[in-house]
Amino acid sequence: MASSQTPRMSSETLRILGAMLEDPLAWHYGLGLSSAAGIASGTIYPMLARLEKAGWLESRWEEQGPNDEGRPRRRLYKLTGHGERAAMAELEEIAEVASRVKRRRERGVLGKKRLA
Amino acid sequence: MTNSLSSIVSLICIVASVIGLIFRARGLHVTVTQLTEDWWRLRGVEKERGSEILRRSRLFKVPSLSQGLLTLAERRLPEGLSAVEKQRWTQEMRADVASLPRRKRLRVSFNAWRTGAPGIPVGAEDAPRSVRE
Repeated sequence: MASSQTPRMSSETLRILGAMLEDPLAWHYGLGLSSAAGIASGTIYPMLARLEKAGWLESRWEEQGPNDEGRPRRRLYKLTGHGERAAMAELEEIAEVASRVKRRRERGVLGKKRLA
Repeated sequence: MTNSLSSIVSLICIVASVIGLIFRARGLHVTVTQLTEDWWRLRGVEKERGSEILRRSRLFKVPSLSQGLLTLAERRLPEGLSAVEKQRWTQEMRADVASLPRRKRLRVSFNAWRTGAPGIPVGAEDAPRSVRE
């Protein structure tokens, strides 16, 4: 039931996607991503839910082993194929913009008016 | 005997004063006061849940304390979350915290209560700091 709508690319969403792209085949749990991306726990779960709704992530309940009895199962998240491609595209675009700005600063172009 | 007792009491007072000074210097005294008030309110207002948490262990047993802190944190979830999102936060946060090593459990759940949940409406991740804080 994933929608095709692109989720809003806030800085925190980009940090989550960056953390997941470091190991795109791995399953991650919410607090682990929160820690890796430096995001407060209050915002991580709604963000993951929105990314899942947009089809960028899939989720499942973890399978518990015999040593895990007595604690609730965690919800795990992984990038979908579409999500991985889309996340890479977003991060590459940001990187390109940053690179362009940096080059212009180095050339001293920024801030100066250009004649038509 | 009396001298030993008074020495112990004096020592406790000194240690408590030093801790209090450290907390005050770090601005944590308000946090501790608020946490204490929230904790007692939890025990008073939601007697069933509070007593259930406390019945299964002593007050400062770490696993139950961390789950108690999460209960308090749930009350601070922002208004903009839907009921489903709140439930997901509750379910997933508790499961994630329960899987952590013991010492980390308390720290994470304390931070969830103190800074992780309140004040950040859904979709406002890019709001200016002054709004979020």
